Amino acid sequence: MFRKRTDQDFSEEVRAHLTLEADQLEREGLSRAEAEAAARRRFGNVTHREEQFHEAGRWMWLDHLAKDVLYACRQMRLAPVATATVILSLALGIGVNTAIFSLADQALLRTLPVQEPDRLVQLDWKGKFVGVGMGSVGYGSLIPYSLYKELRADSQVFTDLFARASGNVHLGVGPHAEPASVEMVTGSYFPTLGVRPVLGRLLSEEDDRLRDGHPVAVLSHDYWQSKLAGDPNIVGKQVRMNNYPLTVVGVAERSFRGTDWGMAPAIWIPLMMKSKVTPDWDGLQERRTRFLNVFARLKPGMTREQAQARVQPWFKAYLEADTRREGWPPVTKSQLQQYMGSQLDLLPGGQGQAPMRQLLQRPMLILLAATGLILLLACLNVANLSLARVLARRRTTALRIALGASRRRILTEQLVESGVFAVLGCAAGVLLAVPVIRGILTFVPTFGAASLALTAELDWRVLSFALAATAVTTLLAGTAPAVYAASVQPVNALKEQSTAVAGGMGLRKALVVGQFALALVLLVGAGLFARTLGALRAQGPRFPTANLLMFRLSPLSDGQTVPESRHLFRRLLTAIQALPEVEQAGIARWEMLRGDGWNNPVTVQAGRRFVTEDSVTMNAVTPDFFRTLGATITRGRAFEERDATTKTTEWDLRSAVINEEFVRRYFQGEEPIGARMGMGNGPNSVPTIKVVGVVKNFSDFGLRNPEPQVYFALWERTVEEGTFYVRSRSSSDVAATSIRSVAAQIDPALTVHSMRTIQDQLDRLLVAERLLAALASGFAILATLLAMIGLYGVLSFSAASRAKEISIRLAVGAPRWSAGGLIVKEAAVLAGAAMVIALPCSWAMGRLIESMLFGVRPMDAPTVVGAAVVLALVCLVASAVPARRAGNLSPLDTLKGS
Amino acid sequence: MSTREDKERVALLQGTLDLLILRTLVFGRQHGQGIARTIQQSSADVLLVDHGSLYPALQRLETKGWIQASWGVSENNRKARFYELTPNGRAQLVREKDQWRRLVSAIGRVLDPEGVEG
Repeated sequence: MFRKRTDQDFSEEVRAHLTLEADQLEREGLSRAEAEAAARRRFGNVTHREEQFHEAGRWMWLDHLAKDVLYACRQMRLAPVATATVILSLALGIGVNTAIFSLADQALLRTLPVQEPDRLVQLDWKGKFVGVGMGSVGYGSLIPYSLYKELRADSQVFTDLFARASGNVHLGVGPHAEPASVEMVTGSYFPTLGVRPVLGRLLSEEDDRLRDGHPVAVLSHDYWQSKLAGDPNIVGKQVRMNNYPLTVVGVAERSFRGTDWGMAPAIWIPLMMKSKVTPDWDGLQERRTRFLNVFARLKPGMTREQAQARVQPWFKAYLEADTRREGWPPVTKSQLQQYMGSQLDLLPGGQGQAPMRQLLQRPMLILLAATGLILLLACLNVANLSLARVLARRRTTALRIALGASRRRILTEQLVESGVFAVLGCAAGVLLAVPVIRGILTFVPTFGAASLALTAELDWRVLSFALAATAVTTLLAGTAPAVYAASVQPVNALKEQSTAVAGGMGLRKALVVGQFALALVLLVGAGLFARTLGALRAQGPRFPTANLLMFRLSPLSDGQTVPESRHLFRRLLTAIQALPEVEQAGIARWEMLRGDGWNNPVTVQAGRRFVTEDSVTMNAVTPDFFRTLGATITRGRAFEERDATTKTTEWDLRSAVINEEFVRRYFQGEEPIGARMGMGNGPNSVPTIKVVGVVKNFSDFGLRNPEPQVYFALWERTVEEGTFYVRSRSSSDVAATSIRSVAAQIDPALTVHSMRTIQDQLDRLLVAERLLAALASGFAILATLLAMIGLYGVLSFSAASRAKEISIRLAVGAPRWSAGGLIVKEAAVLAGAAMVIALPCSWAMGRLIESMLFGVRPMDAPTVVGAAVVLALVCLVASAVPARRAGNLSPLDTLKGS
Repeated sequence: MSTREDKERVALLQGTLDLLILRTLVFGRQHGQGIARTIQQSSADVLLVDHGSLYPALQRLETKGWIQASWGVSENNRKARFYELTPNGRAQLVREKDQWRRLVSAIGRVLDPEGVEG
C-alpha cells in the first residue's frame, strides 16, 4: 500500500498548524509561551492524530504480519537446536503425508488427462455372457467387438465410442527387442478422448478400416524419451513389434499414459492390426469372444442414468438378434434366460479402467490414515516444544502486557511463529516427499512387462494438499501455545510465582506415553515383519540357489510357429548344455517362483479312485530339470528322453512326477508309482497319465508351506513359451553372456528376456514381504523419532518449571548428578508406563498379522525384548540434554530469579 | 483512546463537516489552521471539538479528489500546507448544498405543515 504522503509530511503540517495558531493567539494578546500552550490544547492529542494518519488507508495487518515473521525468525536463530527438531518433525509429518497423498491421488482420485473426463462412461456387461472370454476383470467387464460396432452405428445417446485392449509384445528398433506393453485401439480412441500429439499425428478413423492394413503406431512419450532418446525425426521411422515392422506416425502428449495406470503402454496400434499381437486368436469376427474395454462420451445434456435407461432396449434387441444368428451355441433354457436378463451398465469412465484401483483402495486409505496419525503426532510434538519456549519467555510477555500490548497481538504473534515453522516444515517436507515416492514406487509390483503410469512429479493438487496440511498443522500445533501466551497474568508472572502449568502437564505426559506406546507397537511389528522376511530368505525355495540363472523365451512373439517353437527349445537346450561353463540346464513351461502359474484339480486312479478337491500346482519340465535344481527323486525315476512325443501340434501327456507333499496329502499309504492321473475332478475325467516318480518337496509357486505339485514331461506337449534354468560352474554373469551369444547364433531374431538370477527372482516374489518390512520399519523409525522429540520437549518443559525445586535441592547439598537423575527418573516412569500399555496392544497386533508371519510367533520374545531395549535407549538419549541442563543449573541465579 | 470513539462522534456530523470545509474553500485557498478557525467561529465549537479532528476530514476529501493540497508560505512568512477546491469539489459542493436544502425543507414541512391545519 503506497501512500502519497509520508508520516513526516503530516507531522510537518501539524507543526505548521500549531505555529500558525500560536502566532494568531499571540496577535490576540497572549504571551508566546501561553499562545503555544493554548494552541496545543486547542489542537488536541497530536500523537493520536499522527497515529490516525499513519493507520488510515494502510493494511495494518500486513504490517503486523511482517513484524511477526521477522520476530519469529529472530527467535528461531536464537535456539537452533529446538528449531531444527521442530522443523524436522514437521518435515517428516508433512513429507510423508504428501508422498502418500500424491500416490493415492494418482491411483484413486485423478481423472484421465483428457477432455472433459466426467462425460466419459464405460460399458459394463452385467449378467451371463455366452461364449469365450473372461468375465469381469476387476472394474468394468469385457465387451465383444460386434457389440461395439453395432452400438456405434446406432447410438443416440453418445457422441462417440471407442474400444481398447492391451497386450504384451516384443518391441524394438533394429534387431534387439524387449518386452513391452501395447494398447490396441479403434480409430475413435484418440479423437473421443481429445488427446493431442506432440509430434506427427495420432491414430484416427483412417487407420481403422482394413484388417491388417494399417502398419502404423503411435509412441508413448515415455517410451520415446527413454528408449529412443527423444529423437525429433522419429516420425516416419520404423519399429518392430513381434518382429513385424510398423511405421511411427506420431508421439502422444506427455501426460497421457493410456486408460489404465497399472499398465502404461509403450505404443498404440490400430485394433485392426490385432493379429500381429495375438496371432493365435481372432476376436474381431467372432461374436462369442469378448476382450475389449469400451468407453463412450455422453452427448451434451445427457446424464449417465438417462443414457443407461435409453440403451437398455437397444441392448435387449441386440441379445435377441444374437440368439437367432448362426453360430449360436446350444444352451440350456436357464442359461438362455440368464443371457437375456443381462443388462448394459454405464459406469463412470473418467478415470479409465484400472483393476489395480480396487486392490489398492483399502490399503491406500489405511496408509493415508496412518500418515495422518504421524502428522498429528508431529503437531503434538511441536506444540509441546512451543509451549516450553512460551513458558521460558513468560516474564517478557507479562511485561509487554503490563505496558499495554494487546493480548490479541500476542496471540497472533505466537500463531505466526507456528505458521513460519509450518511453512519451513512444509518446504522441507515437500522436498522430502519426492524421494519417498520414488522409494515406494520401486516396490510396487508390475504385471508382466508393463510400466506404471505413477510418477514422483508433484503437481498443483499435491502442493495444495501440502499447504492445507501446513495450515492444519499451524492450527493444531500453534493454538495451545498461543492461547497460553496470551493468557499470561502479569501480576503472577512478574512476581515469579509458579505459574499454573501443572494442569497442562498431565495431558502432555499422557501424550508422550501414548507416542512411546505406539512406537513400541510399531517396533515390534517391524521386527516381526523383518524376521519373517529373513526366515523366508533363509529357507529359500528348498533347492540350492547359487549360480542358478533363468531366462524366458516366447518364440511365438518372435514370429515362429508352434512346431518351430518346440524344435527351437530343443536345439537351444542342447547348445547350452554343451557350453563349458554350464553344469546343468533344464526348461520349465511356467516360470517358477512367481506366486502363480498353471494349476488344476486332478483325478487319480491308484488302488482306488480319488480326486483332489483343490487345484494342484502344475508345470511341465525337461528330463534334466530336477537335476539342474538339485531336487532329489526319492522314488521311481525322473523323465527321460523316451518320454517325448512325436506329435508336433498336440499334447500327448503320458508321464507325471509328483512331489512328496502330494503323496502325503492324497495317497494315504497307497503306492504312487504306477498310479494314473487325469485332468479335472469331474466324473468324466479319464486318468491316463502314469506317475513315474516322486520328487522331494521344493517351492514352485511360493516359498511358504509345501504344496502338492505335479510335473509333466515338457516334450510330451507343445511348447509355446518356456523358462530355462541354468546352473553354471562359476558366476552367472559369464554364463549369461555365453547363453546370449549361443541364442543369437541359433536365431538372431530370438528375444531372450527376463534373464536374471534366482536370487533376483526371489526378491521379486517377496515384494509384498519386503514392502511390509520396509514400511513397518519406516513407520516405526518415524514414530520412535517423534516420540523421542516429544519426550525431549516434555522433559525440557518439566526441567524449566522445576528449576526452583532443583535449585533448592542443589543448594541444600544434593550432588549434581542427582539433578540429572531426577529428569532421567521422570523419563523412566514415562517409558515404563508406555511399555505397560504397549504389551497388550502388541499382542493384539500380533494376532491380527499372524497369517502374514513366517518363522516367528506373534509374541516372539527376542523381538519384544529388542523393541523394549530400543525404547529404553531412546529415552536415555532424549533425556540427556535436559538432564545435563538441570545438572548445570546455578542455584543462586535461579533462586534470585534473574 | 481509539479512533472508534472519534468515528462515532464524527460519523453523524461527517457529512456536515465535509460540507463546511468545501464551503470555506470556496472563498479561495486556505491552510488547515485557517479552516479550523473559520469553522470554529462559524459554528461556535459545535462541529469541531478540537482542531485536530479537522485533519481526518481533510485527508478524506483529499483522497476523494475534491480538494488538492500543496505547500506554500502564509501571510507572515510561515510554511503552511494550503488546500483548494478542485472542479470535482465544486460540483460536489453544489450537490451537497442542494441535498442539505432539500433535507432542511423536508424536515421543516414535517415540523410545520403549511396550510393543512391552522
